Amino acid sequence: MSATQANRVMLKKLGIVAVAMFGFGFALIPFYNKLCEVSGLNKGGEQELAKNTQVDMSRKIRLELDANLNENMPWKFSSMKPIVEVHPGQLMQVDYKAVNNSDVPITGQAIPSYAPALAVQYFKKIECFCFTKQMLKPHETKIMPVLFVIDPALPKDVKTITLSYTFFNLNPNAQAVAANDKGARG
Amino acid sequence: MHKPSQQTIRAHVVEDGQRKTLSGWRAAKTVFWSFLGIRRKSDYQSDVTHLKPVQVIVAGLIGAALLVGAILFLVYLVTK
Amino acid sequence: MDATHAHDHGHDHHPSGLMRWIKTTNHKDIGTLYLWFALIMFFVAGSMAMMIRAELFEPGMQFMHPEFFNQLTTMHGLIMIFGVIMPAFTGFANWQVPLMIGAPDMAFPRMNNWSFWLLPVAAIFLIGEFFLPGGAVAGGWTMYPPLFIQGGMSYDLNIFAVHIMGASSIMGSINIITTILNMRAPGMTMMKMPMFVWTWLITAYLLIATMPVLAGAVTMLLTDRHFGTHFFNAAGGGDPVMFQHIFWFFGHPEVYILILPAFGIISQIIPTFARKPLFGYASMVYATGSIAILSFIVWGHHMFTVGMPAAGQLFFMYSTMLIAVPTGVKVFNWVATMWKGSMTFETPMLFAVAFVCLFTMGGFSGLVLAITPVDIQLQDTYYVVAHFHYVLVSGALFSIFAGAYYWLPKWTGHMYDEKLGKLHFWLSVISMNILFFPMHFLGLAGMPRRIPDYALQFTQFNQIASIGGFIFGASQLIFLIVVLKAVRGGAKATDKVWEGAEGLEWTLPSPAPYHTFETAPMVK
Repeated sequence: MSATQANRVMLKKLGIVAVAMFGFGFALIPFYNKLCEVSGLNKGGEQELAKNTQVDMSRKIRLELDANLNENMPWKFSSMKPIVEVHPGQLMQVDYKAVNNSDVPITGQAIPSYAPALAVQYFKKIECFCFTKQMLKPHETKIMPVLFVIDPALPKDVKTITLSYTFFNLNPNAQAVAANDKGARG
Repeated sequence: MHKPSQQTIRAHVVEDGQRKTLSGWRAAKTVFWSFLGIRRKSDYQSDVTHLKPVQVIVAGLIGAALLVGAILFLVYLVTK
Repeated sequence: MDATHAHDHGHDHHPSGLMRWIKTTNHKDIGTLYLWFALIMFFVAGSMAMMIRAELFEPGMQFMHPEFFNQLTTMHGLIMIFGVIMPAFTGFANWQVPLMIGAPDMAFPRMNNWSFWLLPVAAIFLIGEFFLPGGAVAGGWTMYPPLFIQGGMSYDLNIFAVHIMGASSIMGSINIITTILNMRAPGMTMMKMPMFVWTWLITAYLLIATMPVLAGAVTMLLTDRHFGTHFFNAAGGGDPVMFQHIFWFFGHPEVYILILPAFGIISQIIPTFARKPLFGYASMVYATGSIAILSFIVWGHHMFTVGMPAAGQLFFMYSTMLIAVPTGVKVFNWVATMWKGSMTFETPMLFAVAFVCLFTMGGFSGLVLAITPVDIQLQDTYYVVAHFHYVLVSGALFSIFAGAYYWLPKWTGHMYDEKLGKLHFWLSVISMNILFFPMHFLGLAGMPRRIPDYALQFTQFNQIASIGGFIFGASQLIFLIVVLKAVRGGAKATDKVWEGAEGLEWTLPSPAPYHTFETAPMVK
């Protein structure tokens, strides 16, 4: 084999290596994806640090959401979902719906109560419509959220919590309005 | 490639039949020393006369794979 | 433009004219072209560095818009790496490899011509970006998406320039490997090859293995930009971090592509001026091979902060630290070569000794950065800038100066001006330290890189660095003068040039004739 031929052979071999490496660059994409999938590295988005480790997955609490109106409150008030199940430590949002059926704007305030009563100290509300007064214009409908976590320290024997809200009418002449309404209906 | 006339005769000069396995071992030794980056001159001379480049490359790739394995094992020990 | 410069010192005994340089297939001509190209680009990218240092002399914006500042840092990096260091080393290889192994020319002379002439095209593309609407690329030399997917038309031009430079490097490497493996003179066995030839052989293999991967990565950027693919586009389900993995698969071996030929040059110069053979030649060869293999398994240390699992961080930390072993072997070998040698300190040796000291410092700051928790603090600060300038300026660049002074008499036939050479050395080595040493402290204090403005407390150290930078920049004009003087005339160089020089190239007359070793020499 002459020197030039030997050089040609070498050129071919090295050229093939270069082309193969170009392909290898593209092959790295499925390779890395497969590697991460198999080895469990880089589970895209599921950040180790950001994970909530406080959730007690071993038990579920049945949460009954009750809605009541004070007798001189001319609204319709109900929970969107009367019963939900939630793990202690799990962040949860539930919604209530209020409708003002009267022809005047009414400001109301919701007062919660719990059964069993000892649940109060374990029921941590982050956001609630009961924190503030709520004003509804005539015939307005409003969806109102409650964002809460049940403390995992909740005693094990508590399996059901009833959360009940009662809306009170804060208008100064509430009695009269209610009376008029009654009168009109009666 | 192999020129006996130029070589010092050594006690463990290999028989032709055994050459294959022993040169594998020799390539492995060569690669081990190369990872450290040092090699005795006489050993280097005998590497050059006894080994084909392909053997060294293959041994080098195996050596690199073993090294990666060893570091991964160390990482496993540290993190477990 | 480089051709006209090179033309100025055309060999008298050969037909000159522009076409000679354009059509030349002679390895010496092409080597000269590469070296002039690198020198011109060195001043282009260097002037960008001067603008950067001028802007950073004071906090607040003085001379330019922040966007232009970002273009300068990006182009400075790209041009210095692809337009200066790599072509300069390729120029050395073109000149020296055939002379050192006793070959008449490179294996593929025409391809050699092509691989050089691709470079000016790429350079015009790169510099031309500044004149496009939106200016040059400003996303950093690492070309990370999403910036490189979102940018304007200069980003396309940049991708093409990288393709062209990659093709040039691959062809150059194929040429060098074939020359070294097939065209050695009789008796020039692999184990007798000079260290410079060995390091270039391994570098060329690294280039062939990694340059196509870079070409693939930028091709994917291009298709993401224009052809609706989503390799790296998060909006389409791609992963920008994937680009970093592919880029650094190229990028880390690239670091060794930029430094292995430097090791080779230094391994030629130190034995010459210590008048002793290189200590541990065999171990040098092995260490070079080992560094080359290790360079493929450490890329993750560039990405410690992207959200890697702890096991990955530990793997890359350990493997990175392992590289210190073969590199340390090399440094010890150089020191052992100098040990009890009868040393003289001509300019090449001064640069070589400075290389050994300062490159080691750059290596140590690299070890600091290899420690994951430290790196997370120092990522993208001036500490990193200090680190890679210590390895690239006092490492790669100083070795290029050393090699240029060392072989200039062989190339031109004239001794360079030793006084000016020493002045160039002392000014460079002192100002280089004034320029880059304070950056370590700036980085430790938290100054981020690639930002045109900084907090007031960084002012003094930035001013020290800028002053050092201006002195360093001005000193390089001395180098230009030295080279031009040696090209035009000067004391006649002997064949051997240096008392302690060993090797085939020193058996030739100075200047080396246009055609050499047409009948192969016998090597004992």
